[in-house]
Amino acid sequence: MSGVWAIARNLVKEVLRMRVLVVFTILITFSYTVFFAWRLHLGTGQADEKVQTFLSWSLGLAANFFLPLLTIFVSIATITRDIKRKEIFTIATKPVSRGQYMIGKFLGMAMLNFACLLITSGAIYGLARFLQYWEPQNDYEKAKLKELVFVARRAVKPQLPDISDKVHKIVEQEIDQAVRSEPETYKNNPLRLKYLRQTLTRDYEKRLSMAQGAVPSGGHIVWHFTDVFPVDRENGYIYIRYKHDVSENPFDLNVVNEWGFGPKDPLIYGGDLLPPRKEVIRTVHEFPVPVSAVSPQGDLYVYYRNLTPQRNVTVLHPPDTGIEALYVAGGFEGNFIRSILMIYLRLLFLGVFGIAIGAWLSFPVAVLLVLVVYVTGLASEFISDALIWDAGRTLRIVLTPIVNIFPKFATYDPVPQIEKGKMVSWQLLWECLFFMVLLKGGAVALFGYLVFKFRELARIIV
Amino acid sequence: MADEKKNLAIQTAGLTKIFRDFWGHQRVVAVDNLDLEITAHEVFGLLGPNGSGKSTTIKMLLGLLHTTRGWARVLGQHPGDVKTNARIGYLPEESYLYPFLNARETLDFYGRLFGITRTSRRQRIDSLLEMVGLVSVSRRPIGEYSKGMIRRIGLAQALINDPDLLILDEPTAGLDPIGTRQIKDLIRELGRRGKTVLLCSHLLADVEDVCDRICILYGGKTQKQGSVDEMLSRRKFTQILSPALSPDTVAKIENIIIEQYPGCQVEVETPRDRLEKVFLRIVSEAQASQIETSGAIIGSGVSDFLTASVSPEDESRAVIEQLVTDRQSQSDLLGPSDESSSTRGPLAVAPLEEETVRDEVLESLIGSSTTEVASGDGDSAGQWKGDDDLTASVEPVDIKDRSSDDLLVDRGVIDNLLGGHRVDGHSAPSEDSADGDSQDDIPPPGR
Repeated sequence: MSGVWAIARNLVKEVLRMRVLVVFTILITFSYTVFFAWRLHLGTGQADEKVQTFLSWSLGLAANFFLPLLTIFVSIATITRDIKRKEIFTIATKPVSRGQYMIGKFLGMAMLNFACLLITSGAIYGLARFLQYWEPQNDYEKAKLKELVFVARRAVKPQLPDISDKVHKIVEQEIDQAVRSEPETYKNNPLRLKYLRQTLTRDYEKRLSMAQGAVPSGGHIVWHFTDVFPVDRENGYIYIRYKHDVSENPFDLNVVNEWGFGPKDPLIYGGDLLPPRKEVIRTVHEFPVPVSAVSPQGDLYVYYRNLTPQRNVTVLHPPDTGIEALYVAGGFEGNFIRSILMIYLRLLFLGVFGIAIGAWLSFPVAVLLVLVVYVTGLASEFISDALIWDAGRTLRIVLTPIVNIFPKFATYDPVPQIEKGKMVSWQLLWECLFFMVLLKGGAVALFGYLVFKFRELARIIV
Repeated sequence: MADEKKNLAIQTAGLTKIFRDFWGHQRVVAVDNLDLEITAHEVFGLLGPNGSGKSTTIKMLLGLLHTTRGWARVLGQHPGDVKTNARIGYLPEESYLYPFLNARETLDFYGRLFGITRTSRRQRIDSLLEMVGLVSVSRRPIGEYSKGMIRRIGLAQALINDPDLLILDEPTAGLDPIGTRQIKDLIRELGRRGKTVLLCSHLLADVEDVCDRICILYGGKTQKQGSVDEMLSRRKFTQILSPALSPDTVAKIENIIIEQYPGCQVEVETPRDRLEKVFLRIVSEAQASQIETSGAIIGSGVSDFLTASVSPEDESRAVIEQLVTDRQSQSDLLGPSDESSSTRGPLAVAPLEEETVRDEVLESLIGSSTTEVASGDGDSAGQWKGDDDLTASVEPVDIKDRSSDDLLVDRGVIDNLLGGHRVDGHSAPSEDSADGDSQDDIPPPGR
């Protein structure tokens, strides 16, 4: 164990003594924290927007760019340099196994990441609080900051009726029709039929789920939210957050809406109604609902009516981004710490990956490979969606498992949550730890260890 | 057979290494069917020109390369065994050390890898830095060191764990003559303390001076293997050293020889001092007059913690060692008493002084016969006014000065006390004897 610890300490010393790197890192950190906060402070805009912008950019850059890049380069360099400069000879001939050597490197990287993240997150938190106290021009802005930004809100999506039976019915009808119209193509070809069924199912699922949130001009819809349990059951608000999409653009890009809410279905039992208002399409909006509108069982009903005069404008609410209810479920500090922990877990994975890959590839090749994996992981949700909805069958069959192997950095990205004051849940954190670090990181580490264990360290390429 | 195997520090059979290219085609046969047996407590030299397979052999023994064919055992285990590594010290052909660490940090790092406790580590680091002469530069990063200084600290890291087996790949590469001399003295001393040393070099003089046995490689194959004495002795010739003779005397001697051995060739020449000796004398004088230097200095004696590994047959030797230590603590051995020892570095002083003390101890043990030999009139080695049987165990050597003869005789006594084992592992003439007086020195054969 002393050997592992010695190797870890040595790695930290090595990095800290790369003076150019340290100076560069400090300059970069300074620029996207202190300098950026100062520029926002001097700029115009509402306080909550400034702070959200600051959190989004600074934490986003730190979590998705600078710290991952630093981790990738350092973790790969520390091991490839040892091998290339043959310092590994004097270590491999000591009573330290190759596994212990790799564990020592990983431990050193973990310590380094912890220190860097601590400094960066401390600076970001401090500057966010600075903006909180220096920016608000009035009590309204102060309240908005407190309610919308410096808070941990849990997001709840509305319950939607199950459409699978409906989809199944429609798909079977379509298949019957297809078989009758082209019997030579489908009757004796079960594989083709299966593909047709899959394509139709996917297509109708998409259409019907979109249709569930679609409100034609003059029409209305009621959403039912369950499990709404705000921390403060007497004071405070629930926020309904939504983004309108439309079937056809209105001439002024605005739609006219009417909102209502209550603990029971407002259409049957009545509820509170807000005055009609114009809202820009394809933009996120929020409005507060008092906690008294939530039933003791955690039910909240939200009513919406499309009052847009143009008859052909149907307002759409896609299932993933259309509408959600946000309520305060915790404090900002706890949420911020959970976010930092999630970033730390992502960095741990990158550290493991870098060390495992660096143990058998040269520096440039290893960096390229890890960067490809990282970027693909960042875009994994987008790629998965594209494969599901738009890719051909063969491509989907081949690529989907591969994409699933990649670590889902986009899924475990806490920055959008923190920016919107949304809760980073413990469940998401445990999932990140288990799936990304332990499962995928463990698999990569094991592979790298096996290659490194049986590698000839003094091998020359003839 | 089992006993023989127990005493083998390194054993290889048919050891072969072939480097292949990416496509699996054979490109380089670096080592070809090498059979080695290195017994414990001996200093073994692996010689060969560049590219003969020396370093490749060592890398296979340390598990840094896989063998293509054959097998190897190091301290009874497979090469690269982690537990066995705790007993091995390795100095690579280049000292691959972290340039951002200073000397202390470097030794501390490697000491931690061995699991050495903090207190012990500190003591060893201080001792080793003093030994290699890097105390004054111990806080400078290794990256700022000269090649020789890096080599010294590389040697220190190889010794931090007090290894049983020391593998040195070109240990004197890049070192100045002082450093080279110190390394050789160190290797001799370590051999004397019971360490097994595998020394790999293409510098023949270095190997000749310190090794018990050598193996000469060429093209990855063993060309010759055996003891240094067997391989170097030219038993068909006799060399005589005397004070300067007049041309008439020389002619008379030549005639006598030619009369006795008609047709033989006789060479008479003025002996030359070795440049190494002159160099060391000059540098020692400079150090004694405290001229400033920013480089390495002549180190201290071999670190105390580098102990012998005691085996049953060495127990009797341990008794004598203990007696020597007791006697040494009572008398003042430091400070050269004559010119001959003033030019030696402190490292070189230690063995001779210990031998002197040992002689005194033995004198008290053995009695008047030793004293009579020491005060003798310079008769040739081998004269013994006690038991003639004892002289039979003394092997014939080149003529040396009286003190060396006495030591050799005393060594013979020691051997008999210890049951016939040689105390010194090497048979080459020691360079500890009289450095300053070049006339007393015997030039190497052929020079």
